[in-house]
Amino acid sequence: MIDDVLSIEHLTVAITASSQGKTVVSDVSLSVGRKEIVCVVGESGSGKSVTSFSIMGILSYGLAPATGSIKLLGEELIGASATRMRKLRGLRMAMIFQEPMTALNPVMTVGDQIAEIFRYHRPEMSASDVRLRVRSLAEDVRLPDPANIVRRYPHQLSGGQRQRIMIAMALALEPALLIADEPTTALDVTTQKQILELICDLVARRGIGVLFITHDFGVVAEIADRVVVMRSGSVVESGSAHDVLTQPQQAYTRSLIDAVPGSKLPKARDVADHVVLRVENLSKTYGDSSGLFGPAHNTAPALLNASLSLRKGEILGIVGESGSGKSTLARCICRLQTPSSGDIWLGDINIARMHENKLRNYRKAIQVVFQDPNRSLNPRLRIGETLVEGARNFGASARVASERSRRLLDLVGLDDSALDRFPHQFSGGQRQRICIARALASEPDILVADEAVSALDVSVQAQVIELLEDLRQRLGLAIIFITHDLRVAGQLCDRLIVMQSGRIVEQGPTGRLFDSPSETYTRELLAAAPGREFLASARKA
Amino acid sequence: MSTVVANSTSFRSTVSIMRRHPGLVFGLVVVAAMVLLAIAAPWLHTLDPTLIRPRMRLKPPSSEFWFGTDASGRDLWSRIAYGSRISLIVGASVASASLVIGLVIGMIAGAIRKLDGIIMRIMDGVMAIPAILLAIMVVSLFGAALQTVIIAITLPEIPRVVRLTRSVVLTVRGEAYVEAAISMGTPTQILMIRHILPNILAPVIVQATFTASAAILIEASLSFLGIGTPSEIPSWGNIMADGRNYFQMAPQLIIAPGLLVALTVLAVNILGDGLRDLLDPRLAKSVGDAR
Repeated sequence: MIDDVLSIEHLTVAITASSQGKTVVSDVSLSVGRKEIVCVVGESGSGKSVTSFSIMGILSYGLAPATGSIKLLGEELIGASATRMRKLRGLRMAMIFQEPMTALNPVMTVGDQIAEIFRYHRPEMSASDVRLRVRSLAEDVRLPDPANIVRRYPHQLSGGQRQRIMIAMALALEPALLIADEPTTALDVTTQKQILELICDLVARRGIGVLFITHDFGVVAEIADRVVVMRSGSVVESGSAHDVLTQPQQAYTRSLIDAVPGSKLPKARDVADHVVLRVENLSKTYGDSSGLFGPAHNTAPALLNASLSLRKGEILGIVGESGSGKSTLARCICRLQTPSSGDIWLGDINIARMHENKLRNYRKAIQVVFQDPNRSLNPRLRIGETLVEGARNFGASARVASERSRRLLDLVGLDDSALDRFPHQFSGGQRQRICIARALASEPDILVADEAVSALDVSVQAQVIELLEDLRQRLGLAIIFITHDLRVAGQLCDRLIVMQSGRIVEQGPTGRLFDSPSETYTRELLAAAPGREFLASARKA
Repeated sequence: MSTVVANSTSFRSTVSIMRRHPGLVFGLVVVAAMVLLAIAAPWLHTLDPTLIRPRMRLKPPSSEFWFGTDASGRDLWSRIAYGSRISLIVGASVASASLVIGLVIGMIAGAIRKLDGIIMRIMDGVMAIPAILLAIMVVSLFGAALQTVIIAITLPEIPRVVRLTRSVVLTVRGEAYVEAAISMGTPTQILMIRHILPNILAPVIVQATFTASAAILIEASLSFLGIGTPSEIPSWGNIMADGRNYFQMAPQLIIAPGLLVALTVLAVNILGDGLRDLLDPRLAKSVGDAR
């Protein structure tokens, strides 16, 4: 036990303002050994981040550890002085976060930011020594061309490179413990794979212990030695990664593992031949309008010659990494943006460059559901008011519209009482259901779901996917499903389009694309999906 | 029954809001006191503020003249009490006029891209002229009267509101719920009124409180310079202007109205800060979570 880098025993974190001793984390015990990766898994609100913040001593105002102990290399952290904690952060333990852009100072070169750590903690080091250490750290985290890259600013680096810089900063003073709070959630799947490999590699080379916080059992299957599953502030289950993944003891763990997209393959379906949407050679270039002062900018096209067709009752997946043009394609199809060239045929009408006044009549046919349900509902309108708007815009009477909104709520699995409430009174999953209901209010033929499940917890994600599938069947809705997550797409979509740098790389039926991808890029994407081998074996079982 | 419950919870939440935002309470109390002073001026042991008493010049404070008298023998307390009317009227009307005009222009600039550049360059032009100089120009062109002073102060305040409104409109326009409304075919006017206006009001209202305090100060400055409201109508600024020459003999002539200006401006500013905390959705959300 003395070998443990970190050991937490019976930790309880309470809300200080609450007189009833309300807790957000209660009775959590876990330990991290040397050369060990321990994954803490849970959905939002499970207390996994609060646990990691209490280790670092950076709990937000209003929260404080009430009982229990946190020992780092045998040293008690609860009750340690602020000066001591500051010393320990960086020296013995370090943390990396989800969004590397916001964690870096935008007006300092990344090399200077790494060097700053040495200036504070090792003032005796000479400037040239610091430079050498910074260079070797950059090499350690496998940054390309380390001599040059340390002279760049954060915005000049890619997301993956920024996360590598964060890891280099975290490892600068050779801490024994690295806490990683969802470090790959904001990254593309291929980049995620590289970062996960880097972390595993560092564990092997340096013998550090890693506490890895994630919501994704796919990631767990990739890297974890041991797993701790949390739910509403308590540990539900813990054990070796293999045991937990293959023989979960708790129903909740089981449901989380099952909810990992891609554990089921889609059933083959018959789709009617009726084409509802045809897109031909659609292109979009941004920044081609000039300001009052200043010349026009010319930039690379965000979308180049995209063509596709969508049939009634079909779910078409568009997958790609950030910057692949998948959202631009979706926004052009819904005409939230005007394409630079190309045609969008709705039946025999081309809406690609139609003027807004005329376009309004055709808008009802294509509706959209966005990624973040917290921002896609007007916070000042009651749900009832939001839901009648679509129908009212197209001339339905108030009575018909409110009748329809009741039916829609029922369709998405919410009851009438929702009508009088405001968006903030609902959970993320419920809000996304409301957004879907709103999209259906104008009785569209086509639903565009732009990363519609990406911001949701896995179990909620599974429910929303089920809802979309159900709507497709009941209403004969054609759905364009845009996602960065190939596993989700694979589970839901009849056909897939793979995009890269604004172009369609490959398209075809989901099964064919998964089994025998013809393009290298598609193969890379498939290989990068975390937990692939585990899921493949789970599918067979 | 249900209304009783609703009332008691809304009362309780009001109390808890007040406990959490002491600044808001301070600002409200001081501003309310000033409003009361302005309304109740005739009944607060005041005399005719314009009555000249040649034999009572520059008297020290006494039971008859609470704050003493000025160089013309006019009762200082009465002049300050009545003067609060001008200051508050100027503050309130400048704030509301610049708020309404600025909101309309700002929303047009934010909504119609073609007009955006033109409107904003005009606003930049207005902002390039120092506020007090612009006010002096307007007053000297149209003569010193209360309305002219209000217009003169409102004019340079409008561009600030326009800029703020436009920037918030641009942010809110990018929100997914606005795009959802666009894709539902919502006409532009309804889009602006239903979806954008309610979501941009908070910062603009906060700005209006700062405009109000700035207006009180500028009115006082204008009066102090002798180009504000005419001397027959007392205002805190022209009381100070009148007292300027007698500062060594009767310092209260400047100190008393000066302190009131300072207190009011401070209170309105703190009120604005409190409002910002209260209306900021992120803060409001964290309060809700804590409960």
